[in-house]
Amino acid sequence: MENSAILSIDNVGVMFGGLKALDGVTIDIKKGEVLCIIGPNGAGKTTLFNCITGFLKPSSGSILYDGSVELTGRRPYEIASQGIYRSFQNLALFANISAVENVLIGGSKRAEFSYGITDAIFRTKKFLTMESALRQEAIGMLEFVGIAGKKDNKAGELSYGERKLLELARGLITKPKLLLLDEPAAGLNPTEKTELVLAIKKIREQKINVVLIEHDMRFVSDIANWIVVLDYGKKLAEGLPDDIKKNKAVIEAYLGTR
Amino acid sequence: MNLPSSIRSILKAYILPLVWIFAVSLPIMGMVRSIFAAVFVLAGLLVFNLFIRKKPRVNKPGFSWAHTRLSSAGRSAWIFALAAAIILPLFLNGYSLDVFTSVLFYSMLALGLNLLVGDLGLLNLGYIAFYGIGAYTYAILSTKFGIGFWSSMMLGGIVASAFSLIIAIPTLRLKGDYLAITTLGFGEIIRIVLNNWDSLTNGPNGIMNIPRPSLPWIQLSTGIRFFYLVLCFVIIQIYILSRIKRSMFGRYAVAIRENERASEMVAINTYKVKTLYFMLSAFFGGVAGVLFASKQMFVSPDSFTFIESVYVLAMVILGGMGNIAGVLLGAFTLVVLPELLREFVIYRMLIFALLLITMMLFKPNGLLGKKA
Ligand SMILES: Nc1ncnc2c1ncn2[C@@H]1O[C@H](COP(=O)(O)OP(=O)(O)O)[C@@H](O)[C@H]1O
Ligand SMILES: [Mg+2]
Repeated sequence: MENSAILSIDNVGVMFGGLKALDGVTIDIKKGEVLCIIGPNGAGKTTLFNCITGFLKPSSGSILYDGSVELTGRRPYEIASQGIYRSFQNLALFANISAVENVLIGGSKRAEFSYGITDAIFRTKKFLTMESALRQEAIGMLEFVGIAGKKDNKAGELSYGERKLLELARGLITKPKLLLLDEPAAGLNPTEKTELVLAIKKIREQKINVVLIEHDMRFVSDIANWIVVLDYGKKLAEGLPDDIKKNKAVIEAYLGTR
Repeated sequence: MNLPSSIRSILKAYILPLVWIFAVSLPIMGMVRSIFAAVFVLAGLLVFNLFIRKKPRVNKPGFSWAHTRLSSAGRSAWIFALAAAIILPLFLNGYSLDVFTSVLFYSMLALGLNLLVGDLGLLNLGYIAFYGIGAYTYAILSTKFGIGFWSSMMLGGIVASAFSLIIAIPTLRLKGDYLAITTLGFGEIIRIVLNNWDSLTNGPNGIMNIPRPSLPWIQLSTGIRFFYLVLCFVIIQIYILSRIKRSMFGRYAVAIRENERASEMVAINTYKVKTLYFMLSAFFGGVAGVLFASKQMFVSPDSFTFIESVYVLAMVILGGMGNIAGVLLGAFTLVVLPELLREFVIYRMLIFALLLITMMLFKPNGLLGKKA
């Protein structure tokens, strides 16, 4: 495992009116590790993802990507072009088009698939080869997450679990270096959960850094190397899965006074 | 399917709008005409539902935009339409030919506006301004500077594109009502400027003696030759638009219409795509304007009023947004129908307003473009 950080979140704060959704959160995400963020509902986990991906501008702090790129203040598409993909807790698919088209759109921005508008108008050879290569790869991604059989179904018609997997496939085709998954296992049945764990392990082998938000501790200890606990917008604890399970403060936050 | 729910959906889709339009138009139009209006709208709804709105699509294996081939039924429909457009004018009198030339002009406009409304789901209520800018560009360039038709053609499109940036850049973050109001204001401002900048536009009197286009070997002066000239432009436009639609540029638009957050997350610069679509849409409007000015040989601000924008928008919506064949059908219907039912012409505006309101009430997803 390398020691340099893929993402350095430094003292990030977010205010919603009077509410401190994030309060001086500092997290270093090391290259090659699968980091998991846990915490009760409303702890600020999704808000942190929104800051990393440019959907929110933190009121303080900085987020440094790959040691040199400052992410705060950039637009989401710029951050995505840096090789960061994020899934949404409540899903963000192109619901009225087919599954494979969803994945195709994901890959459209990759340099090896890009052609000019005149290539499109005159259907040049370049256009045709790139389009079929892209389509091939899109189907490959659907096979990887195990829903290739549904490639021609509209995204909106898929089951909840399949839609989550589709969102993952659409991200993988962008060739991300950092993958942020917001509660990927929520709403999945046990079989789908097992498949997701396998998929994430395979993703990790491809040297893609994974950060995920999750509640299910069994799921978490299965894949995470490092756990960060958020509570009321603050970092409550961080450590190895086994240590976190025994941590008093964490147990209290989850089972205690609320 | 149980019966009550299907009855309820028919009631909601057809009977309610019918009764509603009838009730609204009764005090203004009287009994007979209100029935007429209601039936007209019902027919529109039926056409829309049966032929234009896409049924839940079962994709054939191997489907992708880039490789889609038309079904044989679809292809023969296109060939038939093209053959009719080429042969029919030979048998038409001057008046009918004018009507059909008008269909072509409105087709160019509706196809251009469809890029925004249908493909991206952005409402533009001032689209006619680009038509006006194109027309005046040619009028001014040809009468004041002696620049020819074919060079003005490109310039008209480019000037309209440039003007579209004025509206695109500040409104990129706006949606729905706000965008509608801003574009409406833009259209009005352009018309008012044309009306008042006497030294350049000759104000309300307009510009006369605009030359007709010519090719080295043919004079394009007769009605039928002009019809074929515009037809060529429409065909080129359809060709370009359908190719763009079935490429990744078309996919970007679908993505943005479907889910803007997700589009940004797969690295699509949504502002840039919207700006390009605004420019392309304006370009086609501008080119149509140049053609229009050269046909009329005269332009005045009266041709570019707000109601014209609404007219074009109604064609896009009636025809089925985002669907090239549907938009052409919409343009055809809304130009030819009033000519067939001449007594309706007075109520044109009212009917369009009703149509738009009905669509928004009963097909709200249609207007925001929730279709593939
Ligand atoms: N856009 C917003 N405006 C106002 N408050 C928000 C917004 N987004 C999140 N919040 C609030 O911030 C807190 C953290 O939310 P969130 O990050 O979604 O929590 P988590 O994902 O950990 O469940 C919650 O109290 C939530 O109500
Ligand atoms: Mg959340």
